Amino acid sequence: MSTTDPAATAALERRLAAIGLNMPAEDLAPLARLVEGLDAAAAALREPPLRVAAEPATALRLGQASG
Amino acid sequence: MTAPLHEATIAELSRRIAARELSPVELAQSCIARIQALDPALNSVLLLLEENAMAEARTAEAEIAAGRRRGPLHGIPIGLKDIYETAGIRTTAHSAVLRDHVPAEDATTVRLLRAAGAVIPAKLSTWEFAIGGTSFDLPWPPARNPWDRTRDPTGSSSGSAVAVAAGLLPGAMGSDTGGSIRNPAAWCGIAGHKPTYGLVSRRGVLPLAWSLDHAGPMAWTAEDCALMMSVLAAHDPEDPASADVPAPDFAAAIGEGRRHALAGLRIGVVRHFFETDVPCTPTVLAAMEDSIRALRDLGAAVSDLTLPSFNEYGAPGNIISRAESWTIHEAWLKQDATRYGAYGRQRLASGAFLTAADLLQAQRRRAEVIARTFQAMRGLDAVVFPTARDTAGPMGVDSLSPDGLPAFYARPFNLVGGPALSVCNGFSAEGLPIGLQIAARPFQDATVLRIGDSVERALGTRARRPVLEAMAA
Repeated sequence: MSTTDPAATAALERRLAAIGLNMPAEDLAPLARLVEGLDAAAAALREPPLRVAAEPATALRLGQASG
Repeated sequence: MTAPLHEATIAELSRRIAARELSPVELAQSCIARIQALDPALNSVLLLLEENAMAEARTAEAEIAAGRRRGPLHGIPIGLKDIYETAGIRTTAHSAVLRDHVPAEDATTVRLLRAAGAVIPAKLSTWEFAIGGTSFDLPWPPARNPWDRTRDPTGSSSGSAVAVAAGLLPGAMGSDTGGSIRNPAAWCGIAGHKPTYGLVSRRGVLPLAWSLDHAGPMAWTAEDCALMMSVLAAHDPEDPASADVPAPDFAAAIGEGRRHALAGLRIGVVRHFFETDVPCTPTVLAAMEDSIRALRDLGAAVSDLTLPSFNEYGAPGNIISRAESWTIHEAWLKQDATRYGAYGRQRLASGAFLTAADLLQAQRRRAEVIARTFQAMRGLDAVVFPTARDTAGPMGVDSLSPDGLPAFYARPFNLVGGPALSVCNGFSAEGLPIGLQIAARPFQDATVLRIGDSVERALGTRARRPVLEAMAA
């Protein structure tokens, strides 16, 4: 998502509305940059592919952790 | 020579209280007077609990006089980052959202501190809900660095670091989701310990991201952090991540270090973190080389090692942190996002755009990077690298440097869960403190604190304090 592209900003506003989140107008540009950064991080996690059997660390358990 | 009360460590104060040379009432009065004189220029205290603290100090004094000393924290003032819930006492997270939040119960750690006889004189400033950086649009101003008030202490446990560095309090509690204990410890020249995930309860500590949050101590020295850990490390059935393990013997580890320095320990230097992955400044690099020489002189076998690249920790850490914090704040943000400061609400809201697959991919990468990290650390007692890339920046910092690279090296051990301590390992030419990070495999907290204590003593950094008295005029 480009932070200077009006179409991208409009798309961000639509996504915010769909989520039900009413953010001040001055937040849109910084929020777009943050979302762009997270999108890049998410893309980085998909490459290189993991083994199919690689399981998520959904609950961190260390040693004799009881949780 | 006896140190003035505001320069005495918890260990020294504790010895003087035990020997009946110092009254807990006198100590509490001294802390409160110093807060009242100096904190208006530092903004570390959100709520001063003078009446409560004096009552607690009088109780401590009476118990000790009657021969019922509870241990090393009896009568010692300990401040709380204002995300630690306190029964009947406002707990705001430095946010308008919780401006009137008065919990019914103490956090488990607060209960443990009270049971050990600690005195709680203040709730301390933080970044809003512990998400950073420094904001100027919150109901209370941000804390300032006592080494130079134009500099940022960084956060999010900013008030805790500032209060200890300024000698307002001998110890404080912080929390660390992505460096929030270690980073301000480094920039304020104190010791801060992020315990092994699960070793210290988070029940009653307002969460930022459950699977990355750690509660831990901040104090002038690693020894003082060890004294606090001896009270804080306890299984808590009410914290689902709490580890049911025997509490480490922190006093024995410090004693072992005092007798044998670091003889027999094997320490790895994660050189690629700070030389190639995210290069630190020459000032920080010089302090690292001094520390590595000190570790060798203390008897440790020191060698370089390769962990996964720094960036491999960053992406999963960011995704997991944002997804979890959005989940926590979603309802409040939807109700009225403007109650938050701009910095916090933008970062919290960004998590709304992550997908379930993004989070699960991050957790899969996390499992993989944990395995590779601990595999690489096999046979080592600890690893070292800097805490921050540079010394304290101007007020208003982000977690990124101006060049867009991370400003701190904290994230990897939030992701993998092992203990990580920051101690002061030098000063810049401008007199700003520098931090060394010492990390290890899970539950090796006592070893980490032993190494920190030995390094602090070898480098002699604990003799230097910020000069603050002029601010009281």
